[in-house]
Amino acid sequence: MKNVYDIIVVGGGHAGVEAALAAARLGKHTALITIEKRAIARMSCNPSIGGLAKGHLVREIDVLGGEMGKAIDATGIQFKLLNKSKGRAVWAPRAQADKREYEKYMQRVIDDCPELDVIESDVRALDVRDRQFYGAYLHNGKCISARACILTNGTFLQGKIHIGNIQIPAGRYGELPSIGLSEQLKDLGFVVDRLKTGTPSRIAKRSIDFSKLEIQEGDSNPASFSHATTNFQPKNIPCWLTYTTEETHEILRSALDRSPLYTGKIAGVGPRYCPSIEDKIVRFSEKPSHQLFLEPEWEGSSQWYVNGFSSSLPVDIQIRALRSIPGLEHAEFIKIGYAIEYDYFPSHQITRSLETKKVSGLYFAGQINGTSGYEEAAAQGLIAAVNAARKLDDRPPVILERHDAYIGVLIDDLCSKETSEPYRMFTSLAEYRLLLRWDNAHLRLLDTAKEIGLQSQSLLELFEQTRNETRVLIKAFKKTKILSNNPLGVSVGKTIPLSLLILQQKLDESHVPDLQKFYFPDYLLDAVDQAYVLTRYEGYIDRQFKQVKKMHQLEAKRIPRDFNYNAITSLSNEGREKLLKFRPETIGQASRTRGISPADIQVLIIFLTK
Amino acid sequence: MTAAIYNDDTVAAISTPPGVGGISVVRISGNDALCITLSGLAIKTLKPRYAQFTRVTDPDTDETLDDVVVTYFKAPASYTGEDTVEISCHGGFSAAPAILALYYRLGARPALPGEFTRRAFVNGKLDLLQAEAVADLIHAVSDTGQKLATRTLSGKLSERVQALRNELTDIASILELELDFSEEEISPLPHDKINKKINEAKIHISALVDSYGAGKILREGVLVPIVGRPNTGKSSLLNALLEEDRAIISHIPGTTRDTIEESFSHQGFLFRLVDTAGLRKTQDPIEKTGTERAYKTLGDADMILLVVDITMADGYAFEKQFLSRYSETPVIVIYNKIDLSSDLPALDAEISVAVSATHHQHLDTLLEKMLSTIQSYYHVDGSTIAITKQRHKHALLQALEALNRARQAIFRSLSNEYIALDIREAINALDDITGHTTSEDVLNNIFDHFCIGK
Repeated sequence: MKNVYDIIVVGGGHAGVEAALAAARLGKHTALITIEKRAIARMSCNPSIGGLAKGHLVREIDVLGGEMGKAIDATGIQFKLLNKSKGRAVWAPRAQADKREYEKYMQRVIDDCPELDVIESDVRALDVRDRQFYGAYLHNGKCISARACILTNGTFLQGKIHIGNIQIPAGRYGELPSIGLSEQLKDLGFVVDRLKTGTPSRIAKRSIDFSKLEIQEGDSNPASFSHATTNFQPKNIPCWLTYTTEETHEILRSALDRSPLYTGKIAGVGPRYCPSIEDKIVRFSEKPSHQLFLEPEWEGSSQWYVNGFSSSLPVDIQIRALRSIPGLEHAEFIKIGYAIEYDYFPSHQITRSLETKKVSGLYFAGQINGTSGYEEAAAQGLIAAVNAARKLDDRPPVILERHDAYIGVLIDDLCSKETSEPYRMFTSLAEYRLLLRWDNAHLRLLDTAKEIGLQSQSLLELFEQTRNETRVLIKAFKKTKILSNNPLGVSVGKTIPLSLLILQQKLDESHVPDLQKFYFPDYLLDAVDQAYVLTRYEGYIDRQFKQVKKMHQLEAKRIPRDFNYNAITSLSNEGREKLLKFRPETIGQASRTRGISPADIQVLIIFLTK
Repeated sequence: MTAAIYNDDTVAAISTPPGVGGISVVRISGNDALCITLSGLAIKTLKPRYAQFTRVTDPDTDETLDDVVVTYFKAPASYTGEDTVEISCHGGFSAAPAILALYYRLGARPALPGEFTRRAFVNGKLDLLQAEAVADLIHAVSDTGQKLATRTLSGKLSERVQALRNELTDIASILELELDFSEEEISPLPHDKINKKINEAKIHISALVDSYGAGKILREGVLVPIVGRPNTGKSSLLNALLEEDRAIISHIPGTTRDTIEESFSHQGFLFRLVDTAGLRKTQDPIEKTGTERAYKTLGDADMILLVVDITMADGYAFEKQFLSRYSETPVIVIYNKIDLSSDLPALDAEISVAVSATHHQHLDTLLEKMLSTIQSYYHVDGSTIAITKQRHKHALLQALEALNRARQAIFRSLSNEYIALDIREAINALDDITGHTTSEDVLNNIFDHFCIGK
């Protein structure tokens, strides 16, 4: 263990792993400091990666050179494309993970990474002087020096687990919390607040009556997350579905007075979209039943995850409630569900590069910014490390815009919106969602990936080829005539241009392979597919581009970082307060912040064009 | 407008119309309004919200310009949201300009047209719709127009647009919720239900689009051409309604060659009567031009008075043809000259009145019908909320177009994210009305419509 590094990453969760690997791969001498080495890349909650909007994030991480996509491709045990009944833009890949294999895979990659050292310790304080980061103090008092630091402490800062009326300081089930660091950051002027999240029980496989459950299998021939994955033939291990009953709800209702959520024991705010089961029965009291997925935590696991049954009720209630569910009548508990409260830093304190506004060289990524989810964390870890490395090289940060990527939406939201609950990525948060498809991440992020320099040269060339061919094919589709006698098996009255046939919805996704085979054999299947999507939704995609352009006028108007809002008497009080708090980088960003009125925006425009 | 406004300076202007009046008001607004005003007053302090009697005195010459009443409005409790002083001085062309000149010398800058209102907007005292209403209020030609502007100024139209926006946001949320949750988690709303909601929103938006007619009437008055064949008594009717001899009348057909517009107010509505040349085929080039003008006026008409001479008794082919041609505009058929005959021709008229223009018989009945026709046809009454601007109409039509595309997308069985795009476009169009994303050009355009002093 050395004493001097370029970059320190604190925390070995999903943000920390991506951050440490990206920093090291960009040639920065990097230390990953974590309390427990064998817990690196641990999935503390659900055994899955991806899903709606989150699957998009994983694809973007992959294109930009992150590790998450490769790791889940290598260790996943069931893959599925969600939302297939809807349009292409909202399709999203999801995988069941083998938690053990996933951790092992990541730990091996980290071990093999030449510029990266892992230090098993707890960071108790930072060496900050004149608003500049210099180093981190370990639990034993030793100081590790570095020029930049990425904090990815997850739920560990002052972490406190709640089970019924019992409270235990912990970072995760069975792991110690990190004490002291957030206190010191508070002294440095950071605002610290509390959030809450929860996780459901794990039950023994042998106690589940599978005959009463519905089977849920993955896709038989799924697409991989990573472009680097070849010969993708993953496992397809089923999950199982069951439903809560009226009796379950009755049991839960009878114990609401013992829930820390309702008795006020938990001060932190929990997520609305991932509610505990007691929250669900209160908020959706008209629903007689809620579905629960039973998922293995790894291949052959004796420990099963009850997806949808997150709870902080006392143990006896959780057990009784679960046992009122078909198939779980004899359920045995391995781990009880719990709620966890932790410190986070409301994200108005970071810029879009993820560097803190208060301390130069200090970056925040993941749950300490108030987000939830492995994918959200990994995306931030990657971007924080890229920008930390660039800062050391005196290069400008990489900023993704809202029309570039879900990652852009995520970070822009963090920097311009108040947190009231853990932030999760949603399709509905992306206003340009038709442009941000999971299938075109490599085309829309190609230039950024080149600029960052983590992606392999051969894949960058392949992406470039796909992009060029797509452009050619869109034109070719307009000129290609489909005869009534065609090999696609489509009934065509008169000879018709291919583009028109697609617009008339006479061709769908399933025809794309034949289209390539019979009409464009010299082109990449991926390019034919892209051209198909762009032709099919041409009008909509054009309109989205127009919206981007209209908004760009505002996005392009930059606000100086030290802009003196106090000198503008004409701002509304609330508007000024929000502007001072968030210090938006552009007018566009300011216009998205609640509390900054249209009139405030006009005032800013007037002053900035002065 | 090129000169952007910065609130670090103080502006002044005369806020009352130029000309002879009892009093004029000089308004001074900005950070230094109080200090600048006091430097030209005989008293040394001003108490907020109190009218104080004093003199305006030139500090350099000690010359007293006028006896005045001064009211100080302390920020933010003023029209502009800034420190504002209003000086009521004697009317006419000398006192107010002299006071203004003094305050320009003492540090105030001349206000640009609409600058006080622009400052009020910039300070969040008014939203864009309310700011526009101020311009309408200044230019209001009738009592009802003024009431409409007042209603807009009090934010009723903003509320209405906001309600429409909420309606659309609800639809977008339903659509987008389903993008973020799998089918198992929530039961999706069937597309026919969504279609129904979109239709409801369309009806509400259409109603507001239609109110443009009412808005125009309230704002600009009711344009009422008086038409008919030559010598039916159109000019007599005009004179009778105006209660003055405005148009030349004679027994010679074709006396009126040009159109004459005169206004009168009745029950708060402004009627803009247009006397036109009698409609007939003619070789006389001057009369011909008059006829063309008459037809042109008909194209813009809000209501038509068709005057029929009941003594002609010739089958009335012209009138019958006219009524079928102008079926889109409300027409009141006026059977004139009942003092000379009692046989009314059988015309297929929805609304008719028998009068004698020369003897002022049954004019009350005519006025009543004009009023009720306008009220029922344009749905205007004392509480009408209407749009008065082409800009608003355009934005609402854009919103409607977007909603039509959404319905088209549903019809084509496209999935929710495409429908949601259309709904979001409709929301953006509504935002243009309230100024949410209004570009600076629109803003400047709006404020350019003010006279100086407001």
